[in-house]
Amino acid sequence: MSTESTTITASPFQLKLKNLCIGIEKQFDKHINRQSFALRMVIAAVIFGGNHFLTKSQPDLSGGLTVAINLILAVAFVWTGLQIVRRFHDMERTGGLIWAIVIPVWAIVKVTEQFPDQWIIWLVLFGAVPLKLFLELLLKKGIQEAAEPEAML
Amino acid sequence: MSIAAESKLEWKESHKHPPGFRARRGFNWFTVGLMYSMYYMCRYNFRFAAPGMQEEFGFTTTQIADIWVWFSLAYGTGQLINGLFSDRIGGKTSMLLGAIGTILVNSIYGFGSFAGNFSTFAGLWLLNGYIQATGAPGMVKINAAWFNREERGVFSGIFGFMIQSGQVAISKLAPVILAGFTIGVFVVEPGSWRYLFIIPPIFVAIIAVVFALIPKQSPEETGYRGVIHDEIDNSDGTTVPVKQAFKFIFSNPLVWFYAVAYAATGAVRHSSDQLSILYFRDVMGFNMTTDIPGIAISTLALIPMVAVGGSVLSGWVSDRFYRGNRYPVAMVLYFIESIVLVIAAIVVLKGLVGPSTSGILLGCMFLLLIAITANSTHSIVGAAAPMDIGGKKMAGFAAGVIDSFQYYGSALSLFITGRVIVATQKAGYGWSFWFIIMTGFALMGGCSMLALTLKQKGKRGPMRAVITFMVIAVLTVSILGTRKYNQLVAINEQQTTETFYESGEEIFGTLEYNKIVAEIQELTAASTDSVASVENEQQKATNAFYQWGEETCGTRKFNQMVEEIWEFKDASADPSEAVEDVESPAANNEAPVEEVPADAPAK
Repeated sequence: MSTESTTITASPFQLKLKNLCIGIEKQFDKHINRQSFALRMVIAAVIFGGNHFLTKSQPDLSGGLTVAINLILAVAFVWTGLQIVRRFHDMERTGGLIWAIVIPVWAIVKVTEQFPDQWIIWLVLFGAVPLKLFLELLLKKGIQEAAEPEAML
Repeated sequence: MSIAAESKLEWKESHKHPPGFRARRGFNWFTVGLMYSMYYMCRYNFRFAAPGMQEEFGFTTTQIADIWVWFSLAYGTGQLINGLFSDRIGGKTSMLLGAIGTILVNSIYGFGSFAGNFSTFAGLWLLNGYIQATGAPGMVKINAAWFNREERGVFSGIFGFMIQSGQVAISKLAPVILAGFTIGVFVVEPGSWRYLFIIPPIFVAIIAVVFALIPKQSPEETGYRGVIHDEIDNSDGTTVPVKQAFKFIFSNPLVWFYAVAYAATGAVRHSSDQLSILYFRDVMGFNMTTDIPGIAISTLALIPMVAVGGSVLSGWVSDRFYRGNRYPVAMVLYFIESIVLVIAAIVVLKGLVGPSTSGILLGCMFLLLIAITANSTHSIVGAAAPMDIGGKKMAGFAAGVIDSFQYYGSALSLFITGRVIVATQKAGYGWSFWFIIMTGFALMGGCSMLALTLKQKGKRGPMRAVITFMVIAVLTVSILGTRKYNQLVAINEQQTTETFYESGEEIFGTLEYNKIVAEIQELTAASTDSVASVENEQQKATNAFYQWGEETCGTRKFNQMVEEIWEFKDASADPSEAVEDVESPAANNEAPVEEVPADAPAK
């Protein structure tokens, strides 16, 4: 039923963008084992914890420093997400499960900001699924580790 | 391997994309979403500017509300027209034109609003409404080319969440602008409402530049050929002549079934959104102006969250289990919504929702359930279905037609609800009719989807029966409803008069009251000579009272007096509070007390 059909070609800029996207996807396709994951989570905890204590103890930071800290935090968020996705892939599960961790945790933080007295209720209400998934990420064997004994044999 | 696992694997295999495609689509999707969310910044800025405009130009609240009405009408109608043109010029061009237009109109509003009357402001905002209506069809059209049918459901759910970010952004930015700030030599004085129309367009302009560079209308333009299969027209390109789009969409019955259903979604969604604050105040007894209770804040905060959850879930179900067919899922959702609403109406009527712990929890739970069901249908019917119907070449007009009905449904629902609630509340039905009206709309949505399901199965007889039922139901409810409404209004007027006679003396003071009564008596005597029955006499007295009241005091003052009487009557229900709360003008009246005429009418 088409009345207008033209052959479309991609511009050089769009082809560059395509290569960039392939590079990004490859980053997410990788796998990491439990030990590497645990170590990287400790690094993430240090970064986020450090930021928390810094903002609590030094509430009047200069504008430039605040921007720099926020930039570091944004990179740290992406990097942490990348590690979680890679670990899910190592367990042969979809990386999309990261949302099952991120969304409830975000909800807990937001609601706790509104009602600091009720944090325990929201933690229990929203925290079960992310906690279960996070424990699995830390404890469950992945493809690489499961394949190791066979390789030895 | 279990059947579920096998089907999951099969689905995964059939939806594999080449390397980098998902990320590229993500970029496209994010930028289009960002552009659309920026539209919201140039739309919802008005509500923050309204108090400043009222103060400077003396606009009344009704006038401000009227500007919104004009905006909504222009927006709904604009979707129809702009949707059609977006199929001709492409979604990206359409959205860019819209962005430029809204930047211009907002700038004129900001820079040029030092003079002008109400018509100028309303006209400009009407123009903005029309221009903003390029956004949704353009956005749907671009995304239709990037997603397979079985992927659109989930995408629509997530996208619904993303576009709300513009509203959140202006909600955060507006208070900052109104509070005033200084950047170097650039000073914004506190309360400068004009900057609400100057600063947001700057953000729109920045994103528009990014939007012009990154997103493309189809994967082919980014180097991905043949990745997405369009069931409607898989040939290259994304545009069609206006005539072809008009003919294809207007003659497609699916569009009209979805449009009716979407009107129902708009009716329920906007009604529950707009009136929930009043529901909290009137039914649960919350103070919603100065001291909003935590449970109300929690419920209002949870509503968008559960709405997104419901949208994504319904999209996923329709993608995975119904091969991208939206109507079976939408039908079930509309009927579930009807059941929830019926239960809510009964519970409210029984007085189980109210200012008690269980009453508050129950009331909040109903709001959340309505939000889930209404928003679930919102994403699959409003965003996913137009893409399925129009494909990449005609999704713009399909979205325009369907989305415009959301605004017409919403306008109808709010028009009816506003009037009926006032009448039924005074008659002692509380807010139950709010739920009853929404039930009617939800049932219509369900029936529309049922008729579509029957049509798709080839059962034309039953389909016609459902449509006939819908027509008869609408006519019957309209006739009986109007009659009942008129009766309630008459009863309320009668009650108002009776209350006036009961409480008027205490409210207005004996002197003023006697004057009013004497005048009513004169008017009544002049017009009741030939009337025999007491009932008619009372009716005449009521009419005379209203006539006199409006003529003497002016409509506004008269309405205020009547409201005062109602408030006094409510307060009198608790005698201990009544004495303290209501300062009776009679107590301050220093004029000599006169006797009430013995033959005061209908006392």
